[in-house]
Amino acid sequence: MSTAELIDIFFCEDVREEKSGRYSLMGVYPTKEIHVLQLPTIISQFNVILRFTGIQADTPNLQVKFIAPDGQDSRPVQAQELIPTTPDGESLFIICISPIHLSLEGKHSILIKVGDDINDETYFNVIKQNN
Amino acid sequence: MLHNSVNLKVLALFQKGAVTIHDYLFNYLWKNHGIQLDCRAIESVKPVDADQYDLVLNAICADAWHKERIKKIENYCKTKNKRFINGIDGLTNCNRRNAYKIWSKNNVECARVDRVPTKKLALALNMPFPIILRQENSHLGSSMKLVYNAGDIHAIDDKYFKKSTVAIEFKDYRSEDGLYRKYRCVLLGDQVIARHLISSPEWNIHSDSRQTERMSAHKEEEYAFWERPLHEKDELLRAKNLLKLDYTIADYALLPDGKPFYFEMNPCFSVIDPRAFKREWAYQLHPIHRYCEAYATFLFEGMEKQSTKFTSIPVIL
Repeated sequence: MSTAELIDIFFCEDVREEKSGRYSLMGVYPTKEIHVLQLPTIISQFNVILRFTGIQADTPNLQVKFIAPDGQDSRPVQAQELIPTTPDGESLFIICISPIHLSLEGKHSILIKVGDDINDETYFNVIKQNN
Repeated sequence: MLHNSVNLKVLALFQKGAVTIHDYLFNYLWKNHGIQLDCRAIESVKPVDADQYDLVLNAICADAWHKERIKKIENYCKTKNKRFINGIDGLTNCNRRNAYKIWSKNNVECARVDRVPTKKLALALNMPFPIILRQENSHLGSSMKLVYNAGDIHAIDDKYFKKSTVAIEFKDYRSEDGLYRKYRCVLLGDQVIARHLISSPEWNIHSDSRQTERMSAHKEEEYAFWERPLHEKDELLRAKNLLKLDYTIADYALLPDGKPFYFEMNPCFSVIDPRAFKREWAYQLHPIHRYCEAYATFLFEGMEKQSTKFTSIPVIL
């Protein structure tokens, strides 16, 4: 049995479903760095796209917890499946956050849980820009 | 999601100048489910206005106001086979005294309630001490007094007693650890959402009763409440259905046998505390999000709820 593995993560402002069934990602953050002018700050829309391999077609759920550098966490939030899992176990999930409130600079962990186990961990960095 | 399609049109009735549905729920329903909630003051609504909507949500929380207006719109909806949420019977039944009458005949645990519009009547009351005195329709326990004997009643200013004053049997619901615990669930049709649990050394618990020095203990208790199976769910729904309410909150203690002891059950819409959008209270967004999603399911009851891949949630870090 294959193990779920995160192969890509994107952060963007919005995701739109086209009539063709494809998705347009709007305002993609080019890296894992989120630059802000001040802290705390509120970003009205923030979407996280997760691409997995090794997901079982009947995987019950995929939950994600965001953790700030000081340990403040979001509680687990449910990711939603954008496309049904392909026969070779590839799958795309989305978390639509509206709004996201950021308080601190630094590494924000993202814990990803597929089923009953924590399967992966990734992050984004919040960087306060100097004017 | 630039342009939402309208999947459900709901006429939400309020009384002029009164509390309306919290902006977050309003936006959540629209953005995530295409539910157009038109909030209107009942004073300006004619029964025929319901024709333009899929259903009518009566968001007035008591029968003390606009009884006839509510009845007219509800009856009109019946003739049109249109869903009307929280009819006048439910609002009348959830009044403390009426709820006691209904529940006490049906083995639902709650305190006896009697009206005491004068001090003389309070003194003549055949109810064991201690007794809680309060005004009906007051909030946050602001008018509550606990009296231990006739002398305490004598000491209260005569002006305190009015038409709305009630005496409530005091139930000592303290847990073994010496703390009082008040649970709140939201009941929407057949769904029950655990909303909060507040513990305090004081019996008169309200939203500000959480002690700041015990915040980590409060959080731990609430997380456990939100995640545990709600073994009291069937009892909560039974109590709600006896009152003929569709939507309500239930405030209760849990007795040693696990059964709820009800403080009140009424259609309160103040479920989303704005503090939850601040960092220190953000843990409360968890049940709030569940509540919002359950609210959408509740409004779509009997209809096909459109599933969405883009349900948004707030994250406060």
